[in-house]
Amino acid sequence: MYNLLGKNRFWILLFFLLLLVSSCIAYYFSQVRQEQCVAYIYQDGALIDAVDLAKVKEEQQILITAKNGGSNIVCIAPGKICVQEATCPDHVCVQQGWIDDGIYPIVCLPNKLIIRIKDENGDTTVPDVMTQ
Amino acid sequence: MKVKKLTYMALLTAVALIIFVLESFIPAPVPVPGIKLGLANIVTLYALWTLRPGEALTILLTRIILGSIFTGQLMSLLYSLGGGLLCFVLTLAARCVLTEQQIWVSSILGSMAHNVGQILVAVVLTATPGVAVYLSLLLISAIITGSFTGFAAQQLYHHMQRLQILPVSCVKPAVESGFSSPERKLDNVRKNAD
Amino acid sequence: MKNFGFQRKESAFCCNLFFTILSLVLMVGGLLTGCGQNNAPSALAADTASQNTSATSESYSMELFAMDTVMTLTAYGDSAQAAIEVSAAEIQRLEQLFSTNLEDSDIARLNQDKQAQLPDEAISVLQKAVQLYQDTNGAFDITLYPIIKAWGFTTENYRIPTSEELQQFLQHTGIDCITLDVDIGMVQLTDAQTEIDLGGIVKGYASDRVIQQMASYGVQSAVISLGGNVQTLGTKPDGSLWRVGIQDPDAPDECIGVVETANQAVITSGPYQRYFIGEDGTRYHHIIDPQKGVPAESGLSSVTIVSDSGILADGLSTALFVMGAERALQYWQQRRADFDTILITNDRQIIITAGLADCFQSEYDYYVFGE
Repeated sequence: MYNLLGKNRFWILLFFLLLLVSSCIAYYFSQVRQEQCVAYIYQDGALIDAVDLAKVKEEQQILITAKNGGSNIVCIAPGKICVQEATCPDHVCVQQGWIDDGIYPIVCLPNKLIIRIKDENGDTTVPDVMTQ
Repeated sequence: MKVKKLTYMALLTAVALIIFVLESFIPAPVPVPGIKLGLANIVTLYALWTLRPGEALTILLTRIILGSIFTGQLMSLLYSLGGGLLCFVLTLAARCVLTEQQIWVSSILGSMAHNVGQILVAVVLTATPGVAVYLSLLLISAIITGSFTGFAAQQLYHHMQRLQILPVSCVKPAVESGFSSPERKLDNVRKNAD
Repeated sequence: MKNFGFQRKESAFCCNLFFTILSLVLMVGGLLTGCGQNNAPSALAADTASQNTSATSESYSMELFAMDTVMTLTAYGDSAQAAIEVSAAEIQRLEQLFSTNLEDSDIARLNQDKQAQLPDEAISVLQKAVQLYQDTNGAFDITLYPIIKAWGFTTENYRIPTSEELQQFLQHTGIDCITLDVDIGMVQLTDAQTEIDLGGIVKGYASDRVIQQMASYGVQSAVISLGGNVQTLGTKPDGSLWRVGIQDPDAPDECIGVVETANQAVITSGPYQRYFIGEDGTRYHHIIDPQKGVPAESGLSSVTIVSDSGILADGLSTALFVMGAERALQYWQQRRADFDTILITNDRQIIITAGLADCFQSEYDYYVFGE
């Protein structure tokens, strides 16, 4: 036992193992944390899509058509989401740009579209509800 | 305690303090609290491998307390103390079983203990066991920074030995004659008198 | 400590000590990471379980579009779903009753015919509006509708009225133009040019009603946001207080502070909520100063009212914004039992009144008034 402790090879191996295990644990946690960033897309109050923004690898567009005939093009990117184009007159939803947290949802009033990110991994810095 | 030894310890403390304060000016390479190079640890390691445990502990504690006063981060005093003490204990234990060619090993072990100590303090202070999630990250950084400071301390140790400027009681023959040295007996007598 | 040294004899002891400590450290480390691992997946499970509009036994929530805005209702408990469905119907009923935009609403009829027989409920809301006008020395005024129309805030065809135009309109405003006969439920607008708009309090009234409905269904925990007007019922299901974020007037995507509350309404008014940039490059917002007929410039950039009553909070958030910080704080001193307020000035000072001292949190500096 004492001889083993005297050998550099033993220690190098031990530290490499520890490094590997720690890296795996750290990687696991970083994955778990990101998975909780889910964007819910509502059309006229009904949930039509839920996208895990952490798992999005490249930008993609979704066309969402409203009952009034209007439409919004929603763009999904790693960790964030926005409305890229919209037929509504005020374009408030487009101007809001990318959102990546649960503080304020994107709302398009004319087309009755809501995009809300839920982040419920115990992050106490995000309030339950916001005034406006 | 001889004046020479006292001066030597004061010198080490001063060097450690300067390194500590200078390092606090360098922005953290990774935006995770608790991760830094810990260059001042080179001096602590060196002291641990050349001086007696009590003396090294004195240097460490003085450096921690003065360091947090100098950098104005009294809040981090508890973290430094928690990490520093655990690091000290583990490095000391490692010193008993390792050779002078393995100072780097004791450094890594010490760094890991340091970070575990910090996490323990954080868990107690913030009452959130969740911060333990950082442990894996801190262990990775401990192995990297620990090996760096460890090799630096090892180089320093051997270089100083070649230069023959270690204090008399600290070079290896003196350590091997160990506890029977008259100086240490004197110390014990003084302690008892206290 | 005596045994530390390099001799072979002592090293056995040291070796043991070393391994004891090492295994202790690893054990503690292992335990801690173990705890973390257990926590994380359960949080994930909670997240997927509380999806909106999918009813679980725990919570139910609904998003609906009414009164020109989006509303979110969330309730907890067994009767949550029933309570929310009734609440949604209630909101639609109130919209029919009070909206100035809907042509067949009671208020639209009153504006057209200058007199109308109204249900008791509408009379009591009008009474409340009159009372607020008197209390606030006219800072809250429901007779500004012609002026709001002239600025284009109702149709989004914005324009800047001339001052002569505004002077003309201002002669037909003020509470004197309304006569209420409570006994027979009769309302008369004595001036032929006067039109009223209850937009300043109707959402507050609606949130009061929704909370009452939910309570009558036995719901003990709910939070609603009617276009950003927040009202809470009880505490969170775990007994902790609701954390209501206050919008940063200078960065509308951000939160400037948090109020922890239960059973209260938290309502904010600010010029950033609805505005247009005129041809002269100036920003014109929707909170009209009843004295001048132009957007109120009182040095404030947002007013938040925290109160047990939604209708009071809604009306006062507008009124205190018009008053400005000094008059608003004076007004609060007279009525500190009824409400508390958070004022944010144009130069980003945050002033909270004493009742919020223990439940307001912000990363910015703030002043506590009236302690």
